[in-house]
Amino acid sequence: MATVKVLFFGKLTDIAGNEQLTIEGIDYSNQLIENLEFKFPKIKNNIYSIAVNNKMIFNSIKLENGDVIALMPPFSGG
Amino acid sequence: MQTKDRKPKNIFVDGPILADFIGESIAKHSTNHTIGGHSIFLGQVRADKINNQLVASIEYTANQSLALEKMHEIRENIFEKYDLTCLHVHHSLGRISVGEICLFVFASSVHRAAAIEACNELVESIKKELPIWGKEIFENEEFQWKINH
Repeated sequence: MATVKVLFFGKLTDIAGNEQLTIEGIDYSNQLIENLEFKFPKIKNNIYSIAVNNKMIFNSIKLENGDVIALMPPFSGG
Repeated sequence: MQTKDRKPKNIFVDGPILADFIGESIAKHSTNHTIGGHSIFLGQVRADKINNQLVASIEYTANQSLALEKMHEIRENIFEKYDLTCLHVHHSLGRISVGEICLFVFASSVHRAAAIEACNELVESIKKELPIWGKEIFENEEFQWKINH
C-alpha cells in the first residue's frame, strides 16, 4: 500500500478545490483514479491525461510510496 | 554532437514579458556574426468577447517540471531538424493583462528559412504539447478555462 501525492491542474483544481492532495493506501493508478472520481465526481466529466513522476501513463501501473501523480486537462498555453 | 550538450532551460517568467527584455535579447545577438536572420513570435493576450463579457487577463499556471522536460525534448528535436544558431523560449506565469506579452519565441539562423520554419513549428508545439493552462478572467472577475484551437 503506497502513499502518493496527487497534483491537479487547470480546471481540475476548481473541481478538487485544491492543487494537491496526499492519498494513502493505494496500490495501482486505476485504484487512485477510482478513489479520486468517488471523492470528486465532477472529474468524470473531464478529459485529462495522467503522468506518474513526470511520465505519461496510458494504462494502470503499480504505485510506490512517494510517487507524484499529475492529472492534466488539455493544455492551453501560449 | 553539439545538440547533446544542451541542458533543460527554464522558460518561465513571472508576469508579462516586457518590451525591454525582448529588446535586450535581440541586442545580445549582435556579437554573433554568423547569424543572418532572426524569427520572433510574440503572443499577446487578446480581449476576446465571450457571452458579452470581455477577457481582461489570462492567468497562466503550469506543471513546471514536466513542461521543462518536454520543452527540452522539443528543443532537441528542433535543433536536429533545422540548422539553427540559437533558440530561446519564454512563457509567462501568473496574471497577464490584455495587451501584454505572454509568449516570446526567438529563433536565429545563418539563413532565414531555418529560423522562420523552426519558430513557427515551435509555437505550434508549445501550444499543443506543454502542460500549461490559461484561465481567462473577465472584467467582472468571472472566469473560464482557455481552450487552444
